[in-house]
Amino acid sequence: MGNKPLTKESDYIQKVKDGDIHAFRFLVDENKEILLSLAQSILKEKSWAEDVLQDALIKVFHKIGSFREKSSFKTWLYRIIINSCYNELKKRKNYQDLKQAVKIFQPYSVENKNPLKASERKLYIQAALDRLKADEALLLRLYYLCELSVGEIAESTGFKKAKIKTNLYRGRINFKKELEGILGNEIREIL
Amino acid sequence: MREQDFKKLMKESSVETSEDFTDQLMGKLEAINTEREAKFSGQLSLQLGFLAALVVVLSFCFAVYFLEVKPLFILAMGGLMIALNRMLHLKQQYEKLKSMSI
Repeated sequence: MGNKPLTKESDYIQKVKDGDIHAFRFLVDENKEILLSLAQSILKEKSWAEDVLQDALIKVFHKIGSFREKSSFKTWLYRIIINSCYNELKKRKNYQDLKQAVKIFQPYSVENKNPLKASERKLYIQAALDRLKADEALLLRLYYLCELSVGEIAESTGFKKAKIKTNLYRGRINFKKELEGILGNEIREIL
Repeated sequence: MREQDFKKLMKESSVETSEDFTDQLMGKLEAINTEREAKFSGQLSLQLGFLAALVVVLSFCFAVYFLEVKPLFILAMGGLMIALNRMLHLKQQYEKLKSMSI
């Protein structure tokens, strides 16, 4: 009799708890892009975000035994990744230099009459998010990309609900401002 | 900008990982596990060695008292092994080691 195929996330989690590295690979592949987006929101540099994410995922593999299925796995996972990123951010002293580096970005040329390609759209959106404060970019992604509720975000980040709502509000305004700064009137193109 | 616009734009904001991201991660994980496994198996061998030496020494010391009743001697040594095994948590360590291996 062959092994039953794993269908639910909880089956994979149980397998990982039993030390199955292949089940862990599946969980990583399922979540890696969202996790990297969250890490990128905080660290603003892709290669750094990838390194920190890998170290955080190793922590996840070793800590998964302590995960109790009372809360959602995603919330628990996001919390570990987010904490690791903020800890790394505190360690890096030249964060200000990094922020400056992010500011230098080629804006969209008004003379360019060609419609934006999907890859370009993505690039401009990511650039606008990278210009936001870490908290604002992170909360926007948690709320709209991960589709978490304010309560779940509070659980994942440890932020108070009031802070989340304020930063989401500010994040929306600042994101729009940054996107307008990059695209000018052409912002309609990407909506 | 409306709520739907934000949602749409954020959906497009996901960052793609490099192609070998998962392979790199698995490589790191494997290296860490091998290192831990070596450390644990070293500890385990040391404790098992100590246990075996202790049993041998005790056998030599007390064998004369038990010569008449061999089953009692075997029972006493067995009991000692089980007690030491419990004290040193060897079984748990072995299980941990087994669960960590890839």
